[in-house]
Amino acid sequence: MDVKKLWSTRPSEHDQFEALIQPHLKRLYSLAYRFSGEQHDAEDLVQDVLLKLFPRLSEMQAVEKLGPWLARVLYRHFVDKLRTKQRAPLRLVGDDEEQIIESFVDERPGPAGVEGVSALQHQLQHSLNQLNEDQRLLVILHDVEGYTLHEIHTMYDVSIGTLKSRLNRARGRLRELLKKVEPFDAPSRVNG
Amino acid sequence: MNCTDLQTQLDDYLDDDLLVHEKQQVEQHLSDCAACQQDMADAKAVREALGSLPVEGPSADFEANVFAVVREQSRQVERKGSGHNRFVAGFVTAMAASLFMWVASGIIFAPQSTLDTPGVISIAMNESRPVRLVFDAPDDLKNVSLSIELPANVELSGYPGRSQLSWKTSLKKGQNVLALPINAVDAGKGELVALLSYGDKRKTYRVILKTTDNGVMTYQIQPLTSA
Repeated sequence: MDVKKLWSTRPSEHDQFEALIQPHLKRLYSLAYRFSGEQHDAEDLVQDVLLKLFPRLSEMQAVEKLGPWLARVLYRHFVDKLRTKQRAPLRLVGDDEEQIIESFVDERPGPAGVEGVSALQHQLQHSLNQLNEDQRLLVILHDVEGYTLHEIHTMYDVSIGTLKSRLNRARGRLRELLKKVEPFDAPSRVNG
Repeated sequence: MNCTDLQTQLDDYLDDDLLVHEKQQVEQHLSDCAACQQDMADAKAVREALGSLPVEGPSADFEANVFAVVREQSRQVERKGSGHNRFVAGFVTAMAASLFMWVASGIIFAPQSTLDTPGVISIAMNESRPVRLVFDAPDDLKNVSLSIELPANVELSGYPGRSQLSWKTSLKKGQNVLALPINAVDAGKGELVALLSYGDKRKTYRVILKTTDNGVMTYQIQPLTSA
């Protein structure tokens, strides 16, 4: 018998937590950035979520598709923070919850400040920010971040058919908005 | 198909979600309609632009920092919540010498038992039962020396007649479990000594093993001594 074989390692809870999260961290940050539009806010958002999740380690270990599950937790936390912010005492109008979410328009430039952003991407970001929250979320999850409809279905328990039609409506709305900022100026317009 | 029909199927076409004949109808219309060709091209450009919207990456130390914050804050919560327990543990250690926590030189060795019943295990003579010692290391540690000294009433399975074993090992960050298959070979009372050395640090802990003719072995963890 080899005495070295008497050893085994039982990772600490922190190690287990980090091993679970690490493969999803980049995507989680990216999604947080899409929601918040700024590096610092995105980092804060991810950190807040991880702090909330650490005590739920055993629950996380039982989750079959952790990526979409994490995305959902992130989104809910983002919305909660947004609602809290919007409920600040000095808020003058729009105390209705749904109205708050529906009317949310991020006026920040978002990734437009990032090098290499084309005119179309700049317009896109502006138009994305004008979609209502549901539409914006769907387009961000599916067309920007690449989550499949099936993954989004596991996040929101909405049928795939409904998601698909909502997504197509959101895309149509996005194109309408882009036409208003229009035109796709000469360099970015694609001639078919 | 007219232009309105095409607008309703434009996204499904780009998603490749249409049936073959629907796809053919779309393509047929596109071949005859310059306006819809342009709409399709624009929609495709939007898709591509969405898929390549840049992200300002996180700061260089984001990953390390975020996990460090989680570790620190969860420990703070733990410390706040366990003040009473720690006092009780300290009291028990002092009075009963049965529980201890050893912290030195950045290494924490917290022996635990995973025996069937706390304090007592039943073992038939010549039957091997595992005694598990857990070493909680805050970092990966290489070249750790471990020596085990066995009392006369037990043996380590696979090492008959050996009262002392030493080897070099590595500890991984986290809990490292040393499972010693202990075999009771004689009635009596003895002390199992585990000596761990890392660099110039040496730590010892002891387990008293009692074996009886009726096959019951009891154990008791003794306070640590350090050199």
